[in-house]
Amino acid sequence: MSGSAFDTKPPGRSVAHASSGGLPERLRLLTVPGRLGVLLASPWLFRLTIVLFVALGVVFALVLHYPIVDGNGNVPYVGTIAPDEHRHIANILFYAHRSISAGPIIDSVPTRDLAMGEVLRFPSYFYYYFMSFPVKVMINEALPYSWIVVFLRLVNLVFGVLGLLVMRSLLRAMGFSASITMLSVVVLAFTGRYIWQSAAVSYDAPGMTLFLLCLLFSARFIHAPSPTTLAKAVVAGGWAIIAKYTFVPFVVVAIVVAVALVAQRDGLRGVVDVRHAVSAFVAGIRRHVVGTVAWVLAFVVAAALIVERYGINLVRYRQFNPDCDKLHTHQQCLTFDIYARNYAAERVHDLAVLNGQQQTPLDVLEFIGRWCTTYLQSIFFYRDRNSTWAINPVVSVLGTVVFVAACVAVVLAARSLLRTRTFVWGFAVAGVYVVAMFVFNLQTFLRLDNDYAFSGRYLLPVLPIIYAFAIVSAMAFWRSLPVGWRRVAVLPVLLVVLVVLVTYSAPVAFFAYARDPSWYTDTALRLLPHWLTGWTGAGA
Amino acid sequence: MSTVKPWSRRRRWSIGIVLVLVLLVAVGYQRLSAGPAGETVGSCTVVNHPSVDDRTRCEGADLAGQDLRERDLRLADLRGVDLSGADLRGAILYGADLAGADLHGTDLGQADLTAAKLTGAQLGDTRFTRAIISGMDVTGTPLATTSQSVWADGETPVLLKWSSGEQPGVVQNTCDDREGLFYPGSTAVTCQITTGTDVGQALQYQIQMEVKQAPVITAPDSVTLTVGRTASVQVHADSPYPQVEAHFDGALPKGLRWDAATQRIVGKPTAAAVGQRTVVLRADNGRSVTKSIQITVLAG
Repeated sequence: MSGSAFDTKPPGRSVAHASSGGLPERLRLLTVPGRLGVLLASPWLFRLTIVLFVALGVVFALVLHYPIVDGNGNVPYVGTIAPDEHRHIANILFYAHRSISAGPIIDSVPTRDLAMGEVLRFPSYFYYYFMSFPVKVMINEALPYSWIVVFLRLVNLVFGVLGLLVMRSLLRAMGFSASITMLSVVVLAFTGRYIWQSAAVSYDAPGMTLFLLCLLFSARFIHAPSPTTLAKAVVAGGWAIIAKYTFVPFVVVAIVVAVALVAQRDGLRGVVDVRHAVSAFVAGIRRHVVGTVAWVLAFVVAAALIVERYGINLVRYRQFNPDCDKLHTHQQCLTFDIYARNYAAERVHDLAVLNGQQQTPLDVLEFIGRWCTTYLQSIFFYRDRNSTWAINPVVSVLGTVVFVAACVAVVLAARSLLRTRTFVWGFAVAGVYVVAMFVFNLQTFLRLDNDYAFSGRYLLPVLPIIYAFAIVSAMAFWRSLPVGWRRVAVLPVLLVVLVVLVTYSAPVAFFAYARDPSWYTDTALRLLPHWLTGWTGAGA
Repeated sequence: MSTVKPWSRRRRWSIGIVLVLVLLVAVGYQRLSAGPAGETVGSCTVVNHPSVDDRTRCEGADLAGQDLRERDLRLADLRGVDLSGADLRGAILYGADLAGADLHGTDLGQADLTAAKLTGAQLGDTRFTRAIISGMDVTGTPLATTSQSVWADGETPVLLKWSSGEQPGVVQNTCDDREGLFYPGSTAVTCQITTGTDVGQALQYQIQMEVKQAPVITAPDSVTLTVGRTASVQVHADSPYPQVEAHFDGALPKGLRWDAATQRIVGKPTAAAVGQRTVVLRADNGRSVTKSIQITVLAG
């Protein structure tokens, strides 16, 4: 391991930008030293991480209860791998049961099918439509439902693996050393939410991977501006938006901030040089026909899909994702459990206010504390909608200590970190994302007096960047300590970090708390040891 | 040689401007997605996306025969509104104030009327098919029966009958035609109106059945007391219901007073009280009963 923040040359044409960008001397030392650093930088560790990630993902995909989709909204939440996996499966099955010639555009839907959410103008339908093709084949072959669920989960696991690969490239493109990048990848790979998301049926895994791809090209664009890279960022961002509509503002922020940083450094010609763009495109066609055509095709298809769905939605309904009651009657929308839940909460809240009943007063500090705690817990641990957190207090305290220490370290290192453009960009993207989630949750709390959508899973797309910043900052803080202090503290700190890494890692965080047979499939209950599943052998 | 960058080329500024622009776009999108503030229906402006602070206020408006299906009229002020013949199927009307509204021929099928106030509303062929009616206030409407209060003369229970009107869509009204025997006292009777079996499709309210009995006074016709000696004359003025208040009309002989708590005439008659007087004990619990007592005070 070298003594530089960049173990190897960062990608892109302009290495000079990175060095002249002024990475501070302090940060140049932010690598994991000695043999550990060499080990972390080793490609074999990455391969091992991927293998373990896949193995764990396969286990989760196989052993976890398959949600029952009955089309009436009567779906048990207990023990499903993702809170709304049933809804995603139901949507895929809905498209799979349509004929191929019917296409993805739906004109009408029976009220009972609104149990799986609004489907007429839902902007994130493409994942369902795309995945419906293999499912169509499986249905035609009369394969059992469990096979379909496992297949869909495994496909998402592939997206999860791709996400890790893209994350590694992203962090390297941002200028993190190979060892820091590797450490961040390992931590993310064993973060419960990331594995569970990857081993569950939902558009989150592909959406996140595509979003990270957009970030990767944006970071590369900052580092070495080229119209090709910017176009790739736009295309990847477009597909991320198609996969999951909530990425719209964050894709825009990522690309616009990247463009602004380049424009600030190189002027507008550095961003948009039409002559350069045309010549790059012609050169691309000549040298990489297939690749260039594929990108162009991806752009055209994405543009068409976005215009058809987002464009029309915006013009006709003034929203990217129209409210259900703009397309159906209020009564029909009540079939969708999330709509009904929010409506019921609004009603309780409004009537309480009307009757002068005391609402939960907003204590900003308490709210921030609760928000952080819930997000921290739900990133690493799992629970279903009907149970409360039951995390071991010692584990909880240790995690909080590490979290607070990481926050302090980031604050202390912020000035140093913000000296490179990609780090500034990373801070802006992650910061906007976190603040947006906080504001969204605060709005919900004030509007409904409820903590709906308080979940760490919403932070996953920027978690790799947060992890990398936290690790870099922690190491900078560590190195800033006097040698004597470090000698004394090294053992307890290592011990705490190790305990936290183990207790917060996905397998421990899951199996330590999922001690209820309702979490597992019948086969898993028979095969897994009973002390692990909590099954007593009677009536699973 | 260092050159001074224009402010627009400084990193902090450019990032700041971008973020402010993004924020402005986000706020603009929020406003755009909210749509128009309201829509005029008849003589009423119906607020879109109403809230506690901003809701439809159309007191006394004429909305007769209007198509208000699926309208969001939550918390609306619709006091005295003419909604006769209006179509309010599936409308959101929770917390709405429809006191005194004309609801003749109004279709409220599947409407959410949770905690809506229909006090004194005029009903007639008003359809409540599968409406959500939990917590709705129907006082003073034909749907609701009223509390009763009667006087009983003897010890035997009183037969009371009560009833309330039906409306289309009301599948059950437990107080539409009932009777019961009631002893003196105040008895709560729970009435339930249902429009279906789903959550919220039942309204429960209570009425009070009061059977009152005039007080009965038990007291001696005459008492003889001696000056300077402590007197304590027990009387009883009772009724099972309602509570009796007893007092003497006029003053008692000097030195004596009425202890309402123990229902006793207490004290020590003075010399000025010597002689014979008739006092009137009055017991009142809505009905007034009197009893004359002759008090003779002898010199000691």
